[in-house]
Amino acid sequence: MKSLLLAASFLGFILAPAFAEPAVPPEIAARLKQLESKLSKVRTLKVNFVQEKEMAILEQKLVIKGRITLQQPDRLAWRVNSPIRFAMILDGATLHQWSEDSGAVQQFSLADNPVFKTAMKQIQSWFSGNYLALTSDFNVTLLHDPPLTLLFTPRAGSATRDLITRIIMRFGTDEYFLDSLEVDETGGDKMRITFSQMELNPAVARTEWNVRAHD
Amino acid sequence: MTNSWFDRAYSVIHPWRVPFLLVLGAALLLSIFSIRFIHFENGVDVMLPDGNARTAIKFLTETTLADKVVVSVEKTDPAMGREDFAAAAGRLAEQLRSPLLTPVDPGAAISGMMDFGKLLSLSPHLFGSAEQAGAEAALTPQGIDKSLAGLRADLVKPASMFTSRLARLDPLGIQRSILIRLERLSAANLYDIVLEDGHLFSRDGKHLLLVFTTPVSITDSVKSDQLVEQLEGTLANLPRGLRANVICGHLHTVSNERIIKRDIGRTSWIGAIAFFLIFAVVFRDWRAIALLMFPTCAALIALPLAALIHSSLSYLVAGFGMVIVGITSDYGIYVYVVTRRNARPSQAVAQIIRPMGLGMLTTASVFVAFYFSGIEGYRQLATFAIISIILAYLSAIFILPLLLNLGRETGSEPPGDCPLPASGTAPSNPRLSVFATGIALTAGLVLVASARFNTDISLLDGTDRKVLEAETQFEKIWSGGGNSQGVLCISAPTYQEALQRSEQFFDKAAAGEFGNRLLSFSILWRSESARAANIARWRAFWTPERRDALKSALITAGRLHGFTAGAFQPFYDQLALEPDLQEPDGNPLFAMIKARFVHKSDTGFTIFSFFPDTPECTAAITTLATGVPGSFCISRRLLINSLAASIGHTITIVTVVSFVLVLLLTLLFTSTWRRALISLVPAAAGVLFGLGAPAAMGQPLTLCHITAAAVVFGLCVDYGIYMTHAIAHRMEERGRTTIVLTTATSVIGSGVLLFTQHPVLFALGLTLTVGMVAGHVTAIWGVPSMVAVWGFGGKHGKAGNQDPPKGRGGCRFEKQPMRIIQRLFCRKLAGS
Repeated sequence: MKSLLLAASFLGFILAPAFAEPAVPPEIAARLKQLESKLSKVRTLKVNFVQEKEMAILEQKLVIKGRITLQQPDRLAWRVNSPIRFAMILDGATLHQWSEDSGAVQQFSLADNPVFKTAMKQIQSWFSGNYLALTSDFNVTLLHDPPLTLLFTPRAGSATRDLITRIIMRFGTDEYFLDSLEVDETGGDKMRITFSQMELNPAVARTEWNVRAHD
Repeated sequence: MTNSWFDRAYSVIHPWRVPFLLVLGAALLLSIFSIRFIHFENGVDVMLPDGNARTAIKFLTETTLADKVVVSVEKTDPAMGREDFAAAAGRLAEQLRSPLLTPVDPGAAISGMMDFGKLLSLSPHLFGSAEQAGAEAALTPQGIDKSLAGLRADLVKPASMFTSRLARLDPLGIQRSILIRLERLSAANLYDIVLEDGHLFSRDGKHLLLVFTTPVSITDSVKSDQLVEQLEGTLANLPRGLRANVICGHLHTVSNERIIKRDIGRTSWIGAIAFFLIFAVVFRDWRAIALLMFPTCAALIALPLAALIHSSLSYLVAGFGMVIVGITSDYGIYVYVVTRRNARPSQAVAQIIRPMGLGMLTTASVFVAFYFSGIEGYRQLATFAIISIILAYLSAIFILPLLLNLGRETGSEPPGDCPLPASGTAPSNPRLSVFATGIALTAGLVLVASARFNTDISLLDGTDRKVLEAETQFEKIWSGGGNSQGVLCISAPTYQEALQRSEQFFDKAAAGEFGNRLLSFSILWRSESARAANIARWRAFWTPERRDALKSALITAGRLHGFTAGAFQPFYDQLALEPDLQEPDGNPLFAMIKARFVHKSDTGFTIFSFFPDTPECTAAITTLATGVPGSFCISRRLLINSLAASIGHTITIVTVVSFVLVLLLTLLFTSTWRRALISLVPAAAGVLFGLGAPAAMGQPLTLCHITAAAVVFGLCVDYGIYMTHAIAHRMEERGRTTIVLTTATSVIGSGVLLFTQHPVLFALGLTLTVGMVAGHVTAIWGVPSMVAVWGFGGKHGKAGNQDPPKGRGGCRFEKQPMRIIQRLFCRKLAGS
């Protein structure tokens, strides 16, 4: 009886065939491991970014400026200064958001919100260097080296296939972090982030993880 | 004059004994051959009382709830990273993939959630009055401006690439309630699971869950065996750093069957050897082997006959076979003992037919009581036992003498003493013996009073301990300390009717205290009539005029916030779609949720609703469900409560009926109330010690112990009857050997069950064995003492005043109200 009731809880999962996707080419897997190895020496990172979004729903390009702070293994702070002030702090499995327009702090548990969790996981992987983790959802192609430029295309059956057509990551010469990131969405929207003024292993104040702390 | 009817029957059979034996032999061979066609069941539900509990278990085994196989994989190497762990688990899932096992992809749920267009197409179906009110509030100029400002701000956030598509489809958030409902239904789980990268992790990340579906029904023992073999084979070769446990109902099926078959084989061999030894050592006569053969043949013929009557039999009934052989071998022993020194076997047998018949009737009457138990397994056992008993009795009195060929009829000879077994010589100090018997019975009563009763059906489950331990471990890892879940099942012949009943219940429950804790398909999907009403409301609200006005307002307000004129075209297009009543079959998320909540069977459809199995919630849901046609609740708590009530009722019925039947029969064949009560003392001792034995071992009493105690009662009353009868007629010493032998064979038959692993068989064996030994000892030592102290009452007072009349052998009757009836059943044995 117990085993039957126990099995009842797993009804909520649909049968989905696993596609026989090609494995990551060994030379690329090696390159990704190399990148991860370099980034593993980075415990904290601060970098400024300029994000440009070309979206079908907007008359003009949206330019967002801000700063990203990373602290391994699972902390990410995304602060926007322009056009509005916004902060998102990802701390393990909990997400805090604050926006100047609402003034309220929202808190989410990613464990209870699988859709949001998938989104945050993607973002975290892009910026924290877990590139091998991305290979479960993406095929990886080497476009250029040096400077290292990688193309990620969603695998069949991936949760992101309906949203993203490709991601291009360009790395700096030291390959500790990205120079730029381009994302093309299935609806035709494009996003490009360029990074500058990177600091490796800086001291990170505790207030950095306070979603209400502003520059 | 000998018993005339028996004499007539014997004289007819005797000349035709060879063909008669051949026919019986053929019947036996046919029975043995037909055993392989008997459909045996190994489920525990057949041992449950008819009613909610049995219905629930049967339902669970037959629905899609039972077609899941779960493998819990543990990372034993701390150095293994999360990705490596997930990858290794993924490879294991592929290794296990086969026609019998198909991996389930939990990530498909996420994919389904992101197909917003398909999800929002469900909006018209869910457009109730609350949704309409929300839409009206959002369509004001202030509402539109606020929504667009928030949308614009959201585009700044990093997750906007994932949410902007939704924004185009629903800029005003009018249809958000759908997503909330979908998320509630798809994310809710009994267990504490973290879905990450398409894998199900435990919170601590050390365990990962693989879920499979299988086409194998858990009632299909052959395919279940193949499935379990495949699982065991693959999991025996796990890579280093991984350990895995399997959870599925099929393990119980296979384990139960393996254990029962092993137990039946083991008890058969042990019993056969023990019986053979006892007959060889005591009788030292090769013909005594027939004493074992006939009860065995009786059981072998009874088994297919019982299967014919019940269409299938529980394996546990077959497992009880050795006990039946032990009980019914008594008849052959009696016949053998009385005829081996008698030149006229028919006369010798005639003298013991009726006392033996009484013993047969008291034993059979206990099994008759099982028909009133409301338990299918017990009814099967009763049929098997009664047929075996009757066949063994008839074969002992008609066939055994033929086979033994113990001489011929030589004409009239003076009848000997009434040859009933067991002469009791009173102990030297009967009062001390009576006192000791009283102390022993009191001790037994104290033991039984201290026993605790447990209705948990897992105590009847013969599944291997390793399987049960694995499930306990699984719950510890994955349960997160939460409550178990209950299931409300609402059935109807058609899908729409089931939906209607489900939504009627849900609407009632939603208004109550536990409404928000109920997970029901009605949260997302309603009956056709309800959806038709919602769609009509949607059409009435979203008129072309309103849609045009909204479009115009959005374009104007949107321009102020930097949105293009066509920014929300997908929203206008979706509003303009003509909704229909069809189910969104192409939507994987909808399909996933429907599979969880809707079950189709040959008799119709069942809609499940899930709720936390707390006392308050379960009580509230069961109360609300009363009166909903086709509904019943399944939960561990309800099962325990229902079983407690049913089992209590069953115990009462079985014990009252068996006690009344046995008491009536005892009174019929004993001359005074005092004699009847003394005759019942061994039965009381048997019951007290039979039930006290598990208590002394620290085991809880189960229904099996109680029913075994009823059988002990029926068997041990015979010892008392025989002993009092022997005392009344001053039987010879050799009778003691007979009664010791009959007890020994009965104890062997039940004692072999102590070598079994299955808890039902072991429980039966323990109570039967200890009970029969206690009954026997009380009969041999306690009854003579009680008779010596108190006598039988009536005309003859104490024992010793009951000399049989000269020239006449057999029973003598005191003048009591039962006299007339006694004369009908216990005639003078000497010639008239």
